[in-house]
Amino acid sequence: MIRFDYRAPASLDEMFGLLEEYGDEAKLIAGGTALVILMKQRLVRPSVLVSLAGIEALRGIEAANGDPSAGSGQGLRIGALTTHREAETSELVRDRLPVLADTFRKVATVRIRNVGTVGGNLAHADPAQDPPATLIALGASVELTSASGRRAVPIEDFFTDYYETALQPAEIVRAIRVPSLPPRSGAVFHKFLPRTADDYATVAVATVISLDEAGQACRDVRIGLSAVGSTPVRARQTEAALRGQPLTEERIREAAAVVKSEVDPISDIRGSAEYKRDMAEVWVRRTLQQAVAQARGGS
Amino acid sequence: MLTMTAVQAPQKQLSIVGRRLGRVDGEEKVSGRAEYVADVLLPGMLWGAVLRSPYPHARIVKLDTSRAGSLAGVRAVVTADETPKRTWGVFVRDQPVLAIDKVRYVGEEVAAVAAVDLDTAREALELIDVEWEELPAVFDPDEAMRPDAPLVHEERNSNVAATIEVERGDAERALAESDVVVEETFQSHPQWHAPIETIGSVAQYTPNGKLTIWMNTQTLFMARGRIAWALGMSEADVRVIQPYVGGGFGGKSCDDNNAMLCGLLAKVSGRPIKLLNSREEEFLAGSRPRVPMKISVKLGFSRDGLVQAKQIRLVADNGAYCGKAPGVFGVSSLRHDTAYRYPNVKVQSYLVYTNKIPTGAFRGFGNPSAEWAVEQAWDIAAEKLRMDPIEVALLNAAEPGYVSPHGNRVISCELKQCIRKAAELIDWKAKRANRQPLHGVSPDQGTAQGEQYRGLGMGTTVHVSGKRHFGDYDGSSAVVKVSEDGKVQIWSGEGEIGQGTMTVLCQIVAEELGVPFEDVAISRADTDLTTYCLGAFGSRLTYIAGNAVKNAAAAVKEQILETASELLEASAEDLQINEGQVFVKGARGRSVTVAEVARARQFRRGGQPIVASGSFDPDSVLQDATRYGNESGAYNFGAQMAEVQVDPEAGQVTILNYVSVADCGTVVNPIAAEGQQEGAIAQGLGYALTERILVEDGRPLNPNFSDYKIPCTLDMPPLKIAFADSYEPSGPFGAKGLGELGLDPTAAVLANAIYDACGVRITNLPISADKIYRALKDREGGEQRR
Repeated sequence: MIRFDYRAPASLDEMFGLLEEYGDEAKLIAGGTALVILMKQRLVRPSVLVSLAGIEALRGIEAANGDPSAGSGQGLRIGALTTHREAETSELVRDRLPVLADTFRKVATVRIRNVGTVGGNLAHADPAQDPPATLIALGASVELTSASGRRAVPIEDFFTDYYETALQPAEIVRAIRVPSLPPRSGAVFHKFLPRTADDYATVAVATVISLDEAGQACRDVRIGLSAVGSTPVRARQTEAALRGQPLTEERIREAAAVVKSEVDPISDIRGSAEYKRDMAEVWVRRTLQQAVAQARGGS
Repeated sequence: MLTMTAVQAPQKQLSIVGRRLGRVDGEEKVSGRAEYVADVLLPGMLWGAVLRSPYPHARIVKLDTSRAGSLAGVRAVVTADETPKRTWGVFVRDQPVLAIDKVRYVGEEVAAVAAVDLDTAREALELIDVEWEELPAVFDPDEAMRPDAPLVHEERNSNVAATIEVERGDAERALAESDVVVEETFQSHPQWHAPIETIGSVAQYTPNGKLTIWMNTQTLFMARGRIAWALGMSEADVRVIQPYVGGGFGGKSCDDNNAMLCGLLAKVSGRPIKLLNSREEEFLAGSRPRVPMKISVKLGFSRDGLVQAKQIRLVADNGAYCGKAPGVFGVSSLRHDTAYRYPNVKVQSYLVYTNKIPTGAFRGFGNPSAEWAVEQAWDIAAEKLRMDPIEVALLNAAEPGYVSPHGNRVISCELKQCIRKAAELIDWKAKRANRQPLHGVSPDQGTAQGEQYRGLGMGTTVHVSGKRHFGDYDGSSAVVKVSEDGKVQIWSGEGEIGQGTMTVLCQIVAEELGVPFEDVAISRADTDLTTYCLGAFGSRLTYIAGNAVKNAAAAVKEQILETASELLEASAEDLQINEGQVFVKGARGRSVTVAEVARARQFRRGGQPIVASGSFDPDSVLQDATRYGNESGAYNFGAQMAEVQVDPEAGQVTILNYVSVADCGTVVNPIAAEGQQEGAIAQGLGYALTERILVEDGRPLNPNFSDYKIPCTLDMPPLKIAFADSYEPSGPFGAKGLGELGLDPTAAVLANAIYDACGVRITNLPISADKIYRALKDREGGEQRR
């Protein structure tokens, strides 16, 4: 490990002051599950670590009542410093968005979930991470904050490349805003793990679908995927092939095949690019089937 | 045909052996107080770090350590110039402590640094200037065998490190006359031991010339010999002490350079040194992974299912230095011939140098790689014979009294019982009768009907209880004493690596002496304080060290009875010891405690302690030049069965049930024995399904646990573990070995079950989901073309 100074500001203002003072020399640390490994490997060598642990404004999970940017009156706002374990076990999350609790439960191992934070996970922008797929499918946005103010970015626009985000210098992830599910909807996340339970996903897919009043056609659908490209992917063309369409087995099958042209996985230890592309199709189809069944009250 | 009956156990009632007792080291370990090598702190201790080769094959043109040496906080920098420049190794002395003139694999040790802390030591590594000349490298053993291949060791004329060409009977003729012949080629892969604790040492060199090393080795005395040789010292000047060890599995049997470098740095710096492998170093150049092999198997059967011949051709990847691979590939070549009654066998095996990490000993020691191939060939044969694989196995299984073609003499053997018991536990017959053959069913039909794509697979194994291997001695010795308070102490140098040997040896001594288990303690292993012991490998300790401590306890018992007979005024033959009381048989009132006996013997004119040594060397022989000879005193057997389901659209395998039954003779401690099987199966599942290293131009791409995936608790299937009713007459209270056999057949068991489930057979490890998916897709394509 390299030598560094450690600063622990108690407020956002104090933190922004430190970022201004140290500039590129400083790195923010929340849970440290990604940063500490990079530092041990000497890939990142900050001279100052600025800890977010003492900043209360970044904590907490709350119902985003009446906030127009939450999309509906029942959405959630999850503070960036919330650990995965807190999000996974939160009664509020489990009650309102069980698919999101389920997603956080599948991240890494419980040891890591106890430490790693939901904001840090997004800011790290590893395209193999699980939560972005579900957040895309739920239509979440990321609340960013800097010394000059706040802004909200749709989650699918937040990731720009491998480990790259829309964050400006001296800007941080403050919270995630997740709208609630529309009526007659189904939401399913699947982390495809053909090796071990604690692995990164070979492919991860989240599908959120809502039905028309007759419960037959697709009113709206959003599909997010992880581990299939340089960023988490929103499968817009696949969605377009379903929106307004009657949800027959055949239609779902045809739409799922579209996703193969929307993903760009790499060959690695978890399988060839071709295999992952095929698996994206399989799991988009299966999560669609499950989500539709859920929306129709099947399960 | 001669029918053979099971070996009958004597009717002696056991009171401590066979009980579910907690571990003697359990409390220390679960409370976090057990001391491992990383916990050893000595005054003035420095930290070591190692500069490793970035190239698979390169000449060192220039090596300049002057900048590193002048960095503040650096106390020593060593290169081959500080070593005796001699090579070392257990079977073949081919490995230097630090690279001499050239490197032969990525990760090989080039120089080492000692500094006041680890950061400084690592910083110093970056200041060592090396000028390299890259050499052509060879990675594939088949390519390495070609006459024009680059030579890994130039002084050898060939990359072939060892050859076994043996024929017993007339295999070719028997194959020609067989009614059913199967032939297939299988590729196995390397597997890392991946224990929670990496290899590490702490060394201290004192001015009297004594080098003391605390190291997490499995084999203290053999480590001492190799360290002394490699550093040009006398064995008497090297002392090896074993702290607690966080898992070994063969990887800590001292075939790597960690302890040598730690000792060298201590000698040169005059300060104690700590040198621990990082996880990446452990993958690059630490524990020696399982030897990968390409194995072609040919089996011949008569129509009634009796095996007539086995022919095997095996090319094994040795890596850059031999280590234990010459022993491993021998086991792969021959051992299976003790599981089934083969009348004719032919072996052509080649161990080949490549520019990769040296391969070597890993739990199973050649058996898992061989059984991956041979047990699949048996499954293929059963299908061709139109017989249930269980029937074919039972028809040919070894029995008590069987002598293998290579001279292995089987005494106790309950292989058939293992097969029958496993079949019962998994409900083989009913499940097999009800299953629908799915070969050729299209994937879509499979998903629509959840019960489809299920299959059953089985495999068997044989293992040794110690193998006469490193010279003509495979014994053990120990000293047992009784203190004046009646407590019993065992001194043993075999060591504890987490497998529970300390507990088992205490149980055996308590049983033999007739004292409470709680009254027996065992020392840690230390080459200066314990008698010579070979260490933990070859599933040998319960059987061999168990017999040694039992013999020592028997000698101690004689002394107790001698003194007790004076005290009780009765003849020693009329005395018995039970729960720490010596009494006259039939008159429990006439008794003294063992403590009273010990005091009486010690505190008198000319008094003596109660102490005795005991030895045991099994009735085995060192194999001759053709590898003929009874390699072990006792053989343990096992059968495993799996029920799996394959997702045909994704290739993913779900293990629905897994059953393992072992014949290890008397089970000394059921908790430990069950744990041995469970842990072995976990490693077997990893070997079969999930573990894999990607290598590009000789560089491992995933030397970490994010990408090299060993199964964890959540990945374990429902397991049923059982033991055969068995008794080994030469074992301590009837016990024999167990540690390794639990993973020997696992990869083949799963391959067979997967074939049964979906009709595709994967012949190269690991059986990953993408391979199954691809094979199913290829078959589908083939059907559409037809």
